[in-house]
Amino acid sequence: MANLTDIFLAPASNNILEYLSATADGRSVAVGSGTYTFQNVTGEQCLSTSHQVITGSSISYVPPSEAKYVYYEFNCKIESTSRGGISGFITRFNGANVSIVDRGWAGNYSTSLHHLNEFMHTSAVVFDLTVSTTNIAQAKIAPSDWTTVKTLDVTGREYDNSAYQCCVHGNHYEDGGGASGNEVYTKPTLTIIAYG
Amino acid sequence: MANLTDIFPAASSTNVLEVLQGTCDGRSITVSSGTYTLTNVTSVQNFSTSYQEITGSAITYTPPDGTKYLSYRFDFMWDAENYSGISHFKINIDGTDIPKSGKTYSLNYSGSSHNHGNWVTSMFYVFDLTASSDDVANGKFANWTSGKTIRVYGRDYNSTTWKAQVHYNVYYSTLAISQYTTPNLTLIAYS
Repeated sequence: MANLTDIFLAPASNNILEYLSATADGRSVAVGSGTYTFQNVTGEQCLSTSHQVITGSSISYVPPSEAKYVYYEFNCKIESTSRGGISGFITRFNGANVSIVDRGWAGNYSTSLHHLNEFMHTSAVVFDLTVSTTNIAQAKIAPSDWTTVKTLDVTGREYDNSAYQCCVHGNHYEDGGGASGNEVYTKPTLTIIAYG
Repeated sequence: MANLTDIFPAASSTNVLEVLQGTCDGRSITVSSGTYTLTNVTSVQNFSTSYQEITGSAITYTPPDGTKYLSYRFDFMWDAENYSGISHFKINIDGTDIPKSGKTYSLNYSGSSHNHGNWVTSMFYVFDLTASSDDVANGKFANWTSGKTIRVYGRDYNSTTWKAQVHYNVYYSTLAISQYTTPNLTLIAYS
């Protein structure tokens, strides 16, 4: 017969209610609060001077009723396509900005050398559901305001349409040359953790 | 009488004892080991050539009983204020630096006007609580039963040319985003 510790590794239950995480490839993931289908990212997305939803960042989610905090994290590859690629990202709750975690992104540059900034961008926030009044800009959501699915996503834009530009998900270089085939783009990841 | 879900919030057991995670806006978070209040970060922080605590990074924490490993992670916005923004970071616990946590961040540059670097980065370390004796500089502890303060220190490379700042979105106005951005702090206790 198995030992109890073989089944229950920790001496007590933890405060994670559910952990939802996936590569944005169109998969469906079932957790306690429901089944969620992630977006399928199939290519690079170049930004403009207007905020647009970053592909792969969007999910319509309702936390378990006992949730006190909900963590949202979106990780994507990003590259500057012109100079430092100055860009800005906003995390949103049902279309409203969670401005406390707005994030800029840029690399340094040399005037004639672009595409040299290739690394990651992360937008992340912990929503506080212990409050009685919702203040989306401050990531505070009254539980009564999140009993049905709400769309969480990230929007992004670049600095201008000529000098400082960027794309997400793309790889410009690969294996000593220009990216091609499967390496042209990489799929982002999205994680949601609900805490009790 | 308490509900069963107050005692066992999760549906099944794992080796994660508790996760303390928050956006650093002054909120208080209650987990099994206690209630912790995060720093309220509301503005940019400039560095000097002396190490200073990065706002939002400090927390005085007592792991729950049975903790074997404790993961600390601090995610924050970094900006190359001048040139490549060479800057140095290290984790400190209760006044003792952990040298192997130290990281230098910088970006290339070609001139004084090209210091555009601005991105989210992290400082992290996993403390080992299974040691037979304390080795604080390597993050190893034999008996961590009361509050210890973990924080991140940062400094510039020099006072004139290679400088950095944190919590700041440099091009906020044109990008239509907030000027300041709030870091996130995460601690995970494992059995």
